[in-house]
Amino acid sequence: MTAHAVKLVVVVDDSAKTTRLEVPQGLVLTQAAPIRRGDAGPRMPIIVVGVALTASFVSAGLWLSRRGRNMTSLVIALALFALGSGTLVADIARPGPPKPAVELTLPAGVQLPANIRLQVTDKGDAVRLIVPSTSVITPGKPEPKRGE
Amino acid sequence: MSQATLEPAARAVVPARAGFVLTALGVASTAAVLAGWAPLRFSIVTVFLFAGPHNWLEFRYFLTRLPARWGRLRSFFMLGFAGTIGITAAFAALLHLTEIGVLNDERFQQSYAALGTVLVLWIATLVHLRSRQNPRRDWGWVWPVALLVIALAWLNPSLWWLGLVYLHPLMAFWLLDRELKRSRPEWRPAFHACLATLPIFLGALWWRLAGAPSLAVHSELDQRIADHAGATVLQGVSSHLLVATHTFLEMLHYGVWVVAIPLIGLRAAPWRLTAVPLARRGAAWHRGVVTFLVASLAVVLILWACFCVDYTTTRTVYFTVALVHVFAEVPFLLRAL
Repeated sequence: MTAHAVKLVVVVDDSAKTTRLEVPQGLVLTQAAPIRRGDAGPRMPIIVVGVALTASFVSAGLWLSRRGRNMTSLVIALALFALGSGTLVADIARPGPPKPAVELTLPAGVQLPANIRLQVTDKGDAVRLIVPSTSVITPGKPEPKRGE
Repeated sequence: MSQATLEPAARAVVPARAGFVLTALGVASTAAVLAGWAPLRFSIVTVFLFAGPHNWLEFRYFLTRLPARWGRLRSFFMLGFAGTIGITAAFAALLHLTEIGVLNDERFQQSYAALGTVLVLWIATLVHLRSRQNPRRDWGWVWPVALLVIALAWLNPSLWWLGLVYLHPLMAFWLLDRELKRSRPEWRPAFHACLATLPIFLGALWWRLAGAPSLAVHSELDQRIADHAGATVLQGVSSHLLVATHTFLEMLHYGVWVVAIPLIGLRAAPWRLTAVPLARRGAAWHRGVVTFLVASLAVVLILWACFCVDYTTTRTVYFTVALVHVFAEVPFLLRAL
């Protein structure tokens, strides 16, 4: 585990709800467990789930088409469609167009909470500190009190 | 004339049916109260008392339902017995490998998901084979459903297997329903009314225990009982609620196999083999069936002795080996449909 210099960028993002520190994966790979070639790892269950679900829908379609059209088939198909689409969009928020993220020059005047989220990302070569605009201390504006 | 002859029979049915309903509701009420009040002790006592006998009676019932000659059912029963033994052995091996630390958590989860996949495919194949026997049925839906269930098994293997732990007691109700249809069709509406009270009992248990603190674990046995009910899988749920629910369902399961099925389905005392087709096949087969029943009765006695010597270890071994009876219910239930 050796220390090495990395670029730090502070970004104000209105769509961010909490302060988040993004660390590119490439910067921490040396500290992670070695990747074993040929090891499907945690991806395998997701692949199997996807294949099984696909095969399930295909076989259900084949079975329904073989039975011929009737009201039961139609109701089952519509119910599955409603369930699937409802599950898919249930948690998707509908925000307005986000404001473009603004990069602050260091030293950035930001108020950090006691705990921040750490996220390892696939891309990038710099450590990015994402803060909501409410955390930025503007000159003349009183500092937000802790706990607010 | 016919009216006059039917009336006494009808009058005789009513008290018997009322007795069945009162017994069923009485057992369910007592089980719910005891399971909610002292879930750990109730679980220990019920498993000690009924685990062995209910397995023996279940195998005795299966003997009654097993044809003397398999004929065209040969592939169905061969696959049924091979799957029952094979999947139980694989499950036991998996548990052993986990106990000795060969499998890490990731491999453990994947192995359980793979075993769940084998189990689902085995059941689906049996359903498929059964659908091609007379009377033929359109059970083509079994493959989409099986594949969907396999997807769920890989999404969360621990939760999936826990679901089986809770669903297994309910299979006894299904078998009892088929047996009633065959032997006492006039009792079925009353039985269905009793089944309709099951959500009420469960709802009452959950309402009373949802906010209960988790059970205080004083021993390895307490921990194993809580784990069996899913305390480690559902960590946000009170272990008191989980153990109470599981013990309540287990008690109903024991009630079906120890009381209801012998009264309704065996057609004779368990030791009388006149209704066992295999025993009527020939003298050698008769001796074989008698030997099997006596040997399995001896296993029940040995199980009780082992419970007295080391309850915790015996309970762990029992719940692993007892998977045989869980899986064996599948082909016999399918034959009853």
